[in-house]
Amino acid sequence: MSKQNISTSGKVKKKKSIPVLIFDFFSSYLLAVTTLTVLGLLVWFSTLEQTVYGLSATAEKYYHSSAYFVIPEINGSKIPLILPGAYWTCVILFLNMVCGGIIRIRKGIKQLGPVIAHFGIILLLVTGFVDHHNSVHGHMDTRQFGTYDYAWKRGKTSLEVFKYDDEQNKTPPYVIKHEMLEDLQHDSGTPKYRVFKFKDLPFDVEVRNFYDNATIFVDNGNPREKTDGAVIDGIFLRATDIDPTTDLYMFSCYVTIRPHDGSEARNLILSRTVNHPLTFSVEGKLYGIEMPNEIWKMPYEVRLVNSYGEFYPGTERPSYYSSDIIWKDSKGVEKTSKIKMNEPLRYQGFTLYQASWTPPTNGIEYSGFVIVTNPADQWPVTCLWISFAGLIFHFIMKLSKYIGKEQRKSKPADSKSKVNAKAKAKANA
Amino acid sequence: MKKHHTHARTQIFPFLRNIAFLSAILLTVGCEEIPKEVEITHQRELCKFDENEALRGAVNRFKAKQPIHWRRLAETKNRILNYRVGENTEVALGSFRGSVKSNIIRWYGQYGQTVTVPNTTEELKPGIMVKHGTMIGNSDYYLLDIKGKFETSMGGVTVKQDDWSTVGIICQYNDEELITIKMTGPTSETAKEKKNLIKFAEDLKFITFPEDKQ
Repeated sequence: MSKQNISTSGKVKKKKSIPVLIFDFFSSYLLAVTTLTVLGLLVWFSTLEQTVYGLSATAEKYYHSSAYFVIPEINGSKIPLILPGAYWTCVILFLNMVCGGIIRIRKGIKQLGPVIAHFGIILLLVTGFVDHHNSVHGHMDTRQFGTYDYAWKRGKTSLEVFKYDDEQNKTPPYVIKHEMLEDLQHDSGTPKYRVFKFKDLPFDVEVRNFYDNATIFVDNGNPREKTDGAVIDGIFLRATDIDPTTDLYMFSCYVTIRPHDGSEARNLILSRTVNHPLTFSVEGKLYGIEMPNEIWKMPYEVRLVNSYGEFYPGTERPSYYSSDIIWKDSKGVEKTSKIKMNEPLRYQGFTLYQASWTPPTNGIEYSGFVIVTNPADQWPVTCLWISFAGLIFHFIMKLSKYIGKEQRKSKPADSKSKVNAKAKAKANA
Repeated sequence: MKKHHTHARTQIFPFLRNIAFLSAILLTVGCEEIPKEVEITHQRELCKFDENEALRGAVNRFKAKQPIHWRRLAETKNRILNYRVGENTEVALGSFRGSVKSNIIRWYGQYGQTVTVPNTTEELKPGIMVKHGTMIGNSDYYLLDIKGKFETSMGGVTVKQDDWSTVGIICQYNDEELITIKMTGPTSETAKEKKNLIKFAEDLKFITFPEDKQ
């Protein structure tokens, strides 16, 4: 049953149902303009903010799916403006494009170009969602002649506990993932802890006071701050701001090793800043514990042979860099590749980009790579071609229409001038 | 008009109710708390990260085999390998540019003792420091054992200990590098650990990258 309403002018006005109102809202031009403006503002504010808080923290704040709302900051000061998070703005833009750019748009040959272009943008947004939820990024910092078969995940720590064999070689470590630690924040008000048990290890590990970013200080008698952690083995943790130049979280925490045999518990400080395991013994066996960023095993090995680079004059920003690497494929066959800026190595769904370069130290060269697995890696290219095709089609349609119109305009003028010429000739005769 | 408003409300309220219901479910699922006790079963496959500390930016470039009862602590600039034995004894391995002579003088100085040290290691005499054996790369190492009242200043804080002892090992690895391993603690503990320290020094190896020599 359709609802009707009588307006003051006496015309019968159809009362729109709720789904129609929702559809109208999501397909409106106003929404498209608003979302695009908001996205522009988010990009602008995040670009400014990342110079203060670093790329990862800013990307997390503005672009992560958990960021529903954002209060931007300029030079560390909050500005009185609440913006929706970029992820959810893109979701609204996606709905807007589908409702307005595909469903609501008039159908016909004239609209085919814009429909194709809209479809390309919709696919681009889908690519973004797939990338956000399915891609994995890792870092591989390489030293010349070093062989690497792993990357570490930025922004994700882990706690690794393992046994040493009789030759004091590491055995496969138990891994406590970031998600199990991040809620044990040191400043959470009530002290939080979690006990981790391991199937064949004779002790439990209790974790507490987790820091996203902390520095290790030596307890040398200098005044301590209220929020400083406890002193263990002469050192303690102090929460610090992330360094935007390195953009690296120095995850840290306090742990207690509790042996099952009732022997004395042992307190330790673990930190990302410590690049090696700490050791302890239980029941006459040696064990290790450490807190690296989550380690990601690669399907191939990479060995850095040479790295080259140049900085922009007077800066530490590389203007050019490249690396020669030897890598082994899954069959163990050695291959040589040159990786340059924007020319990555792609193999078995893994893409290896060079992301940084460090000048040689003591004759040893260094390169930093980023490794990405993303099922939608090449989709943006397709999306852009689709949008390009749609716009070109639309442009040709418009151009041909214009030319046709101009030709039609000039034809009657021509015929008029011919009639005038004939009349003149008659008069002269 | 009133009737129409009421009608619209009856449609909007179920819609809002559904939204609120879905949000509540999502929030409940999203806020699921991790229990206080968790059993970890996931073990990571070993990789190059586990083989070589030098690959991951550690200051350390030594491969050491430690006595099981020693505890390895976080490295510092001057303590590339840093261990704690018992509650009070520390073992620190350092790599410096300097002379054997200056280290001997400094270590004895921490006990308020002055020694006359010859200019060459070949002239060292028992009572000061003696050549004891070879370690890393077949280089000679020298061993000293100082006992007494220990006094040193660390970061502006003076540390004083009675009945203390330092068992030190110095190895002139090459013209530029001096490797020192120093164990400091109560005399009773260092005496027990002296053998372990010597074994530790003799088992020490470099983490090498064969191609570095190219």
